[in-house]
Amino acid sequence: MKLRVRFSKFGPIKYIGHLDIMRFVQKAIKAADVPVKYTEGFSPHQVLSFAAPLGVGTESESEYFDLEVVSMEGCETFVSRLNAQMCEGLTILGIYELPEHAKNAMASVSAASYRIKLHNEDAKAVLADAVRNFINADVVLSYKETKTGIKERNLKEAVYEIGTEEDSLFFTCDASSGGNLKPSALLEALLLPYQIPCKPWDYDLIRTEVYKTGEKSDSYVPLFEGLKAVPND
Amino acid sequence: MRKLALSDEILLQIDKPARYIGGEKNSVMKDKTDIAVRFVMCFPDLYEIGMSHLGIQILYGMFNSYPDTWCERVYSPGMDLDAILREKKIPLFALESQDPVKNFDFLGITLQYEMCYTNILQILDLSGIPLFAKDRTLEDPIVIGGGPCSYNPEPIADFFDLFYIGEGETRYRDLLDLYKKDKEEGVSREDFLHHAALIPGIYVPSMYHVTYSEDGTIASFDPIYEDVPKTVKKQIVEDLSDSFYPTKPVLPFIKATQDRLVLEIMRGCIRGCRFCQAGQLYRPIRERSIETLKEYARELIANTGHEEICLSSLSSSDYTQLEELLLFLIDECEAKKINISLPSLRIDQFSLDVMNKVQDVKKSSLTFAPEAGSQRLRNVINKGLTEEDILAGAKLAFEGGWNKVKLYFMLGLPTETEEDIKGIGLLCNEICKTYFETVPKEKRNGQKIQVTASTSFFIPKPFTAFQWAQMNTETDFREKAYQTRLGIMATLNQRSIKYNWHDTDVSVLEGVFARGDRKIAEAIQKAYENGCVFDAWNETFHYDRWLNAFEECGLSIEFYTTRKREDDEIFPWDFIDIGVSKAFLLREWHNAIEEKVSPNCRMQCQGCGAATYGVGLYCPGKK
Ligand code: SF4
Repeated sequence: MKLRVRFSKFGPIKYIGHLDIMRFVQKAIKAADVPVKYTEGFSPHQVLSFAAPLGVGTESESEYFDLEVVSMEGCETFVSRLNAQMCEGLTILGIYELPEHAKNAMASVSAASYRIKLHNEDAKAVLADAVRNFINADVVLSYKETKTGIKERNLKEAVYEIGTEEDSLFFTCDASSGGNLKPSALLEALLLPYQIPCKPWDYDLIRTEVYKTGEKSDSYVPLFEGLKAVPND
Repeated sequence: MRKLALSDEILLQIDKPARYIGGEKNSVMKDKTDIAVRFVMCFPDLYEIGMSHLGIQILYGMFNSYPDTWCERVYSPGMDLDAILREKKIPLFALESQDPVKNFDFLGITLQYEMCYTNILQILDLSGIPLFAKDRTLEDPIVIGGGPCSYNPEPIADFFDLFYIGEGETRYRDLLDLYKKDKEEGVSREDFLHHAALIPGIYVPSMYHVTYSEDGTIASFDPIYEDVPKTVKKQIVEDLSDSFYPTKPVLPFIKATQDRLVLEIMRGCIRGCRFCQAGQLYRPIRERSIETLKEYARELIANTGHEEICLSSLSSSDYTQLEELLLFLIDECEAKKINISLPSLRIDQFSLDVMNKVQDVKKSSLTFAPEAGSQRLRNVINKGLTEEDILAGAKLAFEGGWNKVKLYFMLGLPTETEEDIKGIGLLCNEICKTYFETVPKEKRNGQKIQVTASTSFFIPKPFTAFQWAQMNTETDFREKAYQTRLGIMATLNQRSIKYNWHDTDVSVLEGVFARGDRKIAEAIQKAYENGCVFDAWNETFHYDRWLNAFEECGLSIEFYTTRKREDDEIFPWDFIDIGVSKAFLLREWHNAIEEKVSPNCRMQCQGCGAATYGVGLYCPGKK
């Protein structure tokens, strides 16, 4: 049986990178005695799939991983058992049953939404203006250095929704494996016309949700949508 | 959420910020307003190294089991953060509370290897604590050292207020109680140190006065007050099954160098290898009961979810119930899908069967530590492993499908000759021959025998029979490594043998620190000021700076390394009583020169002196 687990990540552990969080979660699952499925061989490991990796320094309200279990016995305590094995800042929010042939978490991801709270005064002052310009523009280019030279990308195609509230920027963008947009790239592009440098420590970056494609191919819904929640005692 | 000592700006720009944020699972938070003693435990190397160490986990867990004490951790910051802390004048901080180290009552530093000495100065310096104990005031933490290098604490004695000599589980409570009492009564730092010197096992360098003879050796070493004991007695745990064990170890987020659970099965060693310091320091041998170990293993697994467990001791094959323990672990770990990493066991049918169950034979290798190439030299060092043992073990293993063998040797052992060095190549060759004789061509499946021989340079250590020995010069060492290589190349099967050797420069310094005296502190400080730190790491080791430091202080390296020591010389560490007597060690030194083998504790007690503790498994008069 496959399960999808939703969790949040806040505070100092935003400095723990994706691979280390994976190792942590593997240990937590083992300690929680959840009947997880293991591979065969000399060093058996759990069958886990994490959705979109979260960059170092980013917090999240909604992250996902899929795991396979060999039994659903005692499943109503899975959430609390896992939570008992978490550390400061990591919380299991819910567990969902995944249909047998569902795509795994990683392959399902199509979009993600973010909130960026600015600390930089210059950036705050122009934020609303910058977003208005972005909405009105037909093309907003971002430049990325790659091995084969500088690559251009039209951000208008990668950003699905965008808005502001006080000192914060909200947006939803492409997070698929082929087209993942880095939140910092959007912020840079927004501030470029104003010549305001914005370093990663000039803002708080929080991922607010991770999405899969919905019924219509141009819609997106949270990764847990449509899945049956495992009851939680 | 805890507030971090470092800003996002710093944390996002340094390597591995996870080293500095604390908050790991099983790390302990307490309310500091309820706490009488704040202790910060330091492993003076990078986080990943320090987090692998069992000793710290023991003390951390034990201190935090006291309601009046909060123990936190600090490690050496990497060089990137080191520069930032200096530039921005940010004081070094403890991981849990993120409070400055300087605000603590105690700073405990574990001394696991000599090459960390400059890192101690880095820690003190970045904390804003005066480097020399004599310059500290009541505003500074009490700086206390412990661990293997504290058995000759003299080279770093000036930097420490106290040393704890022995196993940490026994006397710390007394020390903390004394501290609380003296603090309440408002006694001076000097008086507190004087009181502490009266606690068994606590060595306070400032309470002793050393004089030197004209030749530079020690003339006298005496307490400055009458009530301070002349010798400091090593403290040991009497019953290992009834001592604190960290079954809830702190789990690092980032991979530690030893990323596994540790089950310490016993302390001490029955074998009297004459070069081995640990074998003497931790005498007499004490075992943890098998029931206790089973319970600990289950708790460790439940509290951590770790995917690997290993056994720890100096010689696990000598644990009396090893078979039962391993069978239990194999069962338990199989069910929980946990890997067992085996310690190097003596190769016999049982250990091979076990290895076969828990590891992939094709990938794993056999390990032997003959330490010397010839039987004559193995007799000198009292290593009870013969060529027949090795070849018989190898034959069994080859039959079982193994084809990789690792061998460890030392160069520069006392009385070593060219013949002994040639013996290394010859032994490797014999192993290859055994493989070809044991495994017929059609059964080799395209596999080849691979023998890897590694040599390290012998460094005489305090509290061993070889504490009197002359260390080789660097030129000798290089020449011997070269000879070893030639020896191997001259053998028939040289293509199947790989040879590795360690660098010589670090060995020379280790030799100086191992048997150094108080005069050396000045050179360590100079070297640190000249930019030496992380000397245990190849990239950051600067031998030339060290040589300059010694020269500036007018100290001769040869005095500490290659000089001949007389039988009756007073050594800097003689004031420490580890139970094993100097008379016994001297007897063993003479036996070594005469190539006489001494039986191990289980075969026949050698009267080493450690029986005085009354708890050694094979000691006469055990309680
Ligand atoms: S007293 Fe005898 S049995 Fe005990 S440790 Fe010493 S030599 Fe071994």
